[in-house]
Amino acid sequence: MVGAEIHTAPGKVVAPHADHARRAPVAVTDARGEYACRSLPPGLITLGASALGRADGVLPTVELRSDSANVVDFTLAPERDLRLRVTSEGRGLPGARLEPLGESYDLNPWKGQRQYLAFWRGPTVADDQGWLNVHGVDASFQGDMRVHAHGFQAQLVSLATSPDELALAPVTWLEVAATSREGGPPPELYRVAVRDTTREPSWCGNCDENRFANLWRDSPAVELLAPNHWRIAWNGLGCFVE
Amino acid sequence: MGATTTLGSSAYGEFEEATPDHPGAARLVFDPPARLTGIVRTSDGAPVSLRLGLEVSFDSAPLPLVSSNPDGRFEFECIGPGTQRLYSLDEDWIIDDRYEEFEVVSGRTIEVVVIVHPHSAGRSAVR
Repeated sequence: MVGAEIHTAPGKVVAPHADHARRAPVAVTDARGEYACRSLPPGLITLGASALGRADGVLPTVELRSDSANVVDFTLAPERDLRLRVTSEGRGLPGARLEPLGESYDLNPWKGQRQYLAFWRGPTVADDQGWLNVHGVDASFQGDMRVHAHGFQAQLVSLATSPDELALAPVTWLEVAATSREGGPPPELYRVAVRDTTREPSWCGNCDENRFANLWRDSPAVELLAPNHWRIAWNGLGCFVE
Repeated sequence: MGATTTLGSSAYGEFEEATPDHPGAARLVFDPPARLTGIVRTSDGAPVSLRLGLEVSFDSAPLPLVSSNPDGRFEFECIGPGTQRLYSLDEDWIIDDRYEEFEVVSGRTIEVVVIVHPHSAGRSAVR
């Protein structure tokens, strides 16, 4: 394949990481579909390849040797035609993002879902009309993918069917303002813990005590209006109580 | 809901009922900060100069930092009222039970004596 891009990551890639997504390919195939890369250090490495209209290929970790040439070939299958419109109340949501699973929080309830994007794929961002054009996904993939947008609840969509539209529900905004009792300088918020009291209590009181969403100023659900004034996207990404 | 400030104060409240069309709001009122001063010395009475830190929250490393001077004196000019834990951040000195706990009253100055011991065991080095 002409123009296929070769990507690498040192060692074994356990989960996609933003650092991987920012890297340029280490080589591009020529008119004969061949590539060469002489700048890789010896040792364990993860190699992958992508090409237009083809599913990304990631090989098991290999060990590169310095005392002889290393030959690593790829065979890329056709990609799945995956085009999806993200909407809310019938209108497209520009900037909606589809991200590799596992990149979010330890508390992510979807953690452990099968990865469907190769390690060099960053988030796919919806265009002005809310369309997501997802490339590199294998035609046989049947798992779920996660879509989210600012101000809307993240959602999983199953690729076992062929969805062409995904409607996101808006988050519920919460605002916290902190003041000082005797007119002193406004305190700076460090952490806010929110609990959903509309849910049925569990049989275990201790469990209820743990059902708080803990938020810091750099949490994705937090908008910093001022150091003492936070706007929280309740049920947004990383802001939920199981 | 509850919140902690960067000075270690806590306050609790409830949101107004929130819907997607109507944001919930909560206004938390925190008591004015307090002042903590003190002296650090050994059990023999010798003053100790070291770095001290307060634990703002259970999930953080100690954040507000000061150093005691050669006379062992230190001051946290502005800290949150309530229970505060003071840690030694100097690897050569430790506080009994790892930290000293104080009740700090809003708007007041509290003076404390902190006893430290030399910490010599278990040191490692990278050469």
